Amino acid sequence: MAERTTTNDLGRWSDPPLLVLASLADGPKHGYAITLDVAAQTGVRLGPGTLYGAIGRLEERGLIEALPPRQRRRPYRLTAAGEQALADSAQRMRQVADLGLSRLAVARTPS
Amino acid sequence: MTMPPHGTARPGRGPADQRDPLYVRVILGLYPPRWRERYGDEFAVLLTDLTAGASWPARVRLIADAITGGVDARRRRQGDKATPGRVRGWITRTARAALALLGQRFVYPLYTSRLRGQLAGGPLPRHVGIIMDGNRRWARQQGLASPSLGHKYGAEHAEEVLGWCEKAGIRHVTVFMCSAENVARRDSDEVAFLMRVIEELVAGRLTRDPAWQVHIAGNLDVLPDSTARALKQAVEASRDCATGRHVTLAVGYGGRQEVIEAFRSLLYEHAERGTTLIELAETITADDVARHLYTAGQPDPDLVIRTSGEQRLSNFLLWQSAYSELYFCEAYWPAFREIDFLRALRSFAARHRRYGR
Repeated sequence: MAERTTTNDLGRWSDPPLLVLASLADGPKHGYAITLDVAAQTGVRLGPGTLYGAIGRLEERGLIEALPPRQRRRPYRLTAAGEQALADSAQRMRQVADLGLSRLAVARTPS
Repeated sequence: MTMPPHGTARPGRGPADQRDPLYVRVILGLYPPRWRERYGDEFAVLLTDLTAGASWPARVRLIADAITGGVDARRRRQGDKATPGRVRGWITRTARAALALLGQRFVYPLYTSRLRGQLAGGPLPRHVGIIMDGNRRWARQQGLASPSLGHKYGAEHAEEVLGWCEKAGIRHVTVFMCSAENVARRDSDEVAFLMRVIEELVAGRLTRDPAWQVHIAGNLDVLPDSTARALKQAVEASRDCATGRHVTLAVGYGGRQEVIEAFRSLLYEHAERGTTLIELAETITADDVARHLYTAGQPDPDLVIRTSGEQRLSNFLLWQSAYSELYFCEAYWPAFREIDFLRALRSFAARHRRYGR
């Protein structure tokens, strides 16, 4: 994939952060809830180090923000920039997916 | 690196929260302190939750992931600039991190407890003055985005150092946070930032859960309203603090200004009583002036510590430090460690104080 330089680009570390963004798209969640949700929806099991690596980077970039902690758990939610970044990435992925699926369909159609 | 808001639930969280299982604490020890303060709590809960119901292979996977995260966080702290793929650089950095970790976890605690042992029973300063110098240089050295950010780390560090004083049994501390000249001279953005940092610091534990009675030294009139208000609130909130510990925050402070203010107030006092200047000139004593200083009622500092290697008093407690022992430490303020502090106390205990005799 060609390197992108837009600020919202999720870069080399795109996978877990993208999953976190997607998981937060329907409302704030804390770490444990994110891992459960991602596992249920995509089958990917995010380890704690990976998850917090992603959370740290997303927060630093202002794509998610922390809410006040309840007991020792802290929920996170998408920021406006985060929604935009998620939408952009999903859009790009859809283009690639559409392209791939449509060309596969053409190739497989008996002529 | 700036830490996002919603700072730590418990300031100064170390790797060892007794509520967490041992393996969680060990793994947390691999993460850099700043990271730990911000994410340590929730990370510990998550790791405990995830491993609780997991099979052994899954546990191994989770723990490996948590450890990798620690290495990653340490490397990231040293700057994202690190080019990936430079294996040797990576090994050096990892080895350095491992050595630092070894030092932090084993050598440092051992040495700290040895120093504490040396101090036991020896003379202790009743009042320690601290010039927290070097925040900006530290920030530059760390490659932080703005040198001003050093003030934030510096203020957080001040809170930690107060904890050390508490542990050591010191009951009076005066911290030089910012001079009258700082307020007047530095470019206004930096001063504004510094003021916000000070407001946050005093609105924190000093106000909410006072273990120290807060006093202010300095001219509140030169400070922004919000800062002056926050400082006054901290003074009010801690007024009934029964621990017998007093912390004086020197903000917008200058020693000469303080002496002049003290004289002014002394002169007004006598003017109201109708004393003539001749009478006053004949009777005035050092104690008369001391009664009008910001630190009235407190013992003079026995020990003044200045960090960052500068060997000056810079207008700090000009009057009160007449007989103070001075201790200079090379470390920049945010990097001033408990062992540096204990060394200062040890040096104090070893000196023979003469009070000018």
